[in-house]
Formats: sequence, C-alpha cells, structure tokens
Amino acid sequence: MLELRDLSLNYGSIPAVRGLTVRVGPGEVVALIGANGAGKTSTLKAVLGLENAKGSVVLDGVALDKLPTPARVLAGISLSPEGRHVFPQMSVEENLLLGLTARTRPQAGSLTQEMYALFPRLYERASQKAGSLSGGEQQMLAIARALMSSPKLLMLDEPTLGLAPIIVSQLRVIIGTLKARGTSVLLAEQNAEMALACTDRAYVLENGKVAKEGLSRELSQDPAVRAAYLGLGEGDEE
Amino acid sequence: MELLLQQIANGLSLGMAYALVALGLTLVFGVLHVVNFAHGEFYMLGALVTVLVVKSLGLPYIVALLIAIVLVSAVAWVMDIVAVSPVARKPGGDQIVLVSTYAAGLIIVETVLAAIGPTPIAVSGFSGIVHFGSVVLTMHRVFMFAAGIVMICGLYMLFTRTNFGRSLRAVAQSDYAAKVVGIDVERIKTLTFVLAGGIAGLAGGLIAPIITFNATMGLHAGIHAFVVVVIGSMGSIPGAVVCGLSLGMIESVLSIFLGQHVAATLIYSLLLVTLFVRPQGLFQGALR
Ligand SMILES: Nc1ncnc2c1ncn2[C@@H]1O[C@H](COP(=O)(O)OP(=O)(O)OP(=O)(O)O)[C@@H](O)[C@H]1O
Ligand SMILES: [Mg+2]
Repeated sequence: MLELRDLSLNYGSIPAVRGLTVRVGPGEVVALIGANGAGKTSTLKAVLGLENAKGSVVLDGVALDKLPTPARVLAGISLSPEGRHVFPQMSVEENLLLGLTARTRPQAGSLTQEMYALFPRLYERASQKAGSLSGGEQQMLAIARALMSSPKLLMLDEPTLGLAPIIVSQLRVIIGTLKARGTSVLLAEQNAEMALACTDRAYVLENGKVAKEGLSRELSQDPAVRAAYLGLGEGDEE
Repeated sequence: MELLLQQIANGLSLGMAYALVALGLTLVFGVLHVVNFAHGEFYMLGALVTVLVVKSLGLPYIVALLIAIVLVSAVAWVMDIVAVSPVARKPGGDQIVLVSTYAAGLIIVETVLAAIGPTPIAVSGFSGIVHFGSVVLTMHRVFMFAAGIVMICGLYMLFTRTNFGRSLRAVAQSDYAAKVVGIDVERIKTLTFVLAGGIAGLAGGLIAPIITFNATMGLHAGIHAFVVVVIGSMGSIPGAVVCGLSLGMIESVLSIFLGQHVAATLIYSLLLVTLFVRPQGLFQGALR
C-alpha cells in the first residue's frame, strides 16, 4: 500500500526527518507517535508532496516522488492537517466540497450526506462559516473534508486535539469503519495512549528517526514506551 | 440640478471603468497576495487594441472589444510567467513583485510609445443618445455601464457556482489549505492573473471611445484603481465595485465645481485620509 523508503526532509540545514522507512498495508491503521518536533508532521507533509523530501514515497507500487501534491491527492492520499486549516470564510458545506477538488464529483451530494451522518454536528452547521465553528467542530470538518475524496490512504495529524472524549471514541469507530472498507490510515498523534489503542501497528519517532516499531498492542506494554510516552512508570498500573 | 444629475450619470460610466480595473487589482491582491503595479497598463492595452483593430483593420467596435479581451489576457499571461510567478515564489517575493511589475509596466508603456507615439487616438463606439428624463447619455455610455454590470454578474456566478471559482476563493483564504486539498495553487494564481488582465482589457476597450486613447492613460487608471482598492479594502470585490462607482461619480460631480485636477487631488487626499482613519478600508474582510 504505502511505503516510505529512506525518507529524509531538511528545512534549510535543519534535519526534520532522517532516513525514515515506514510501511502501511492495505486496510492497516498505523500510528506515528513521538515527542514534539520528532518529525511526525514533516513525514506526513513529505508523503503528500507539501515539502520536498529525499528518498521515496511509494503508493501501491507506484513511486510518487516526481508528482506534485494535486496528483498525489488524485492518486488517493488525503490529509487532515495539524492545526485544522479549514477555509474560514466558506461554509461547512463548501469546505466539504473542496475536499473533492482533485476528483470528479457526480457523487458530491451523497458524499456530503455521508459526512453529515458521521458528524451530525456538521450537518447542524452546514451553512455556517467554518471560521466561526468551535475548535473541535473545525477539527471534525478537517477530518470530514479529508474523507470526501474517498482516499486509499487517510493521514490524520493530531486529529484528537481539542475533541471531546465522546467525539474521540466516535473517531475511533470511524477509523474502524474505514479499515473494514480497506482504507489505510496513518495517524500522527501526540496522544500516544489513544493512538496505540486504536491502531494495528505503530512507529515511535525520535529526532526524525524510527526509534521503535511494532504492534500497537505490544508497544503499549513496552516499559520504555510506557515510561516515555504514556506517562506511566514501569510498575504503574493503568 | 440637471447638470448634477447629468454628471452623476456620466460619472457612473467612468466609475464602471474604475470598478472594473480595481476589480482585477483586488482579485490579484486577494489571490496572489501581491500588488501588480502594471495593472493599469492592461487597461491601456485594452484601449490600444480596440483602437487599432477598429482603425487599421476596419472591424466593428464590438469585435475589437472581444479581440482586446483576448490579447490583453495573453499579455497578462506572459507577464505572469516573466515577472510575477517566478518572483513571487521566492522568499520575500511579494515585495519584489512591486518592482518587477513596475518594470514590466514601464516596458509596456515605452514599447507602445516607441511603436505608435504619444498622440491620442480617438475611436467611436456605439452611436446615438438615450434620454432618461432630463438626463442625456450617449448610447456608448449606456452600453459601457451595461457591459460592466454583465461582467460583474458573470464574475459573481464564476466565483460562487463553479469549481474554478471555489478553488480561487480557497486559495485566497489559505494557500496551505488549498494545497492540502489538492488544488493546483500555481495554476489558480496564473488563471486569476490572466482573468484580471482580461477584465482590465475590457475596461480599456470600453473607455476608449469616451476618453480617447493615449499611451499614458494606464498610469492614471492604475493609480485610481489603487485608490479604489485601498478605500474598498484590499481583496474585497464588493468594495472594489462600490468604491469604483462612487469614485467615478464623486470625481465627475466635483469637477463641475472644482475643475478636473482639483477633483483628482481631492480623491488622492481621500486615500490618505482612509489610510489614516481606517487602514483596513471600508469593506474589511478578504476575498470571499
Ligand atoms: N517550516 C519549518 N521550518 C523549519 N523547521 C521546521 C519547519 N517545520 C518543522 N520544523 C522543524 O522540524 C522538526 C520536526 O517538526 P514536526 O512538525 O515534523 O514535528 P512533530 O513531530 O509533528 O511535532 P508536534 O508533535 O509538536 O506536532 C522540528 O524540530 C521543527 O522545529
Ligand atoms: Mg506535528
């Protein structure tokens, strides 16, 4: 499905990602966890072509390295970016339609209905300006917008930031549904506990490198990971 | 009183030209986040093409107008390739574009001067007059006003009903978010620049029969458009239209009492007052 081979990204002389190798299988839900500045966001940006990276991004066996972002979106990758980045002066509905930009859209109507079914809150706010939504509502909108293109690979960057616990558990249900449909999900999360609980596998990033990888279930039991990312000492019980 | 009404009516057609030129300038500012100092030259070229096509090729005015729109759009496209997109992409490029477009504008004006000289050239548009009560307007002024309205309504439809329009507004609101959803931001910016050029070309073609063409008319129009755009809030389309029309009327009415030059001076003072009292303009809010 998605393979990142020896991916590196520098901002000027500052390295943000250093030789990352990551795999996401079809229908697999994979987490990238790590401290602030570990390189999670930079990795996702490189996958979408928002930053120029070295190394290779391969989707379904096709190298995307020469393709600009619009072509990568067309190829089936979409991103719910860190910090939401909704279009503030446009209505919720228009924001959703913009999620379809790179695709043909005879089914636009039914797709927006699908999103409203997933996020009833957005339905209530359909004609409201996105900029006037609450932070959590904007987050839902960013996720829904990314889903509009029916991506093969959905990348979520800090999607739970600002979301109420009930919406977070709803998001987990949505991720489960996507997985069942065969959509792959790459989840970058500060909240390691949540990320490990709802993913199949995870990569722990430190300073732009993979420090650890494995099944999420196992990583969440790993003493070092627990100490560093789950705020739990070795002897602690949850 | 009659003179006043007459001048208001005349001012509306002049104001429509200001509005159309300002509209392109504000569009470019809203979407590309740069100020195009050569924008007035698109207007001058629109008038030039119209005049030449009618005089030299003997084609009907309306055909000349269409040719002007197409040719000026093409010039705008070339200018974008040469002087705008490669410059704007660099860090701090939005400032350098001021200079590069200024240079491009000078090149255009000097080329026109070298090719056809400084002599004004007149052309006639639609003939005939129309009476509205006591006010008498030339047919051409009525046509000009109507064409402007059609253009503005067309743009409104374009921005609100089409994918291109939605993408254009998306880029205006956030480059980054537009990239994230897969919009080809560079392409939208180029098309916006071309569209702005085409609108200015139309405005120039429309005004040519009223003010007679001369090679420096773009400078004057560019400054006026700048005043309109600043007062009407940079990036605001309704602001550009309303302020363009108002400015045309105000200038036209004031010129009864004060003469043309004093009227223009007053309008530039208005710019300074606006910058001082309300720097965000009267129609705050970016392009929507
Ligand atoms: N545009 C930029 N210019 C320069 N340096 C950057 C830029 N964006 C990120 N960096 C640097 O790259 C490194 C990785 O940043 P990145 O945003 O990928 O981290 P992250 O893992 O997403 O962190 P967080 O959890 O805080 O979101 C950081 O050291 C950051 O300072
Ligand atoms: Mg991040």
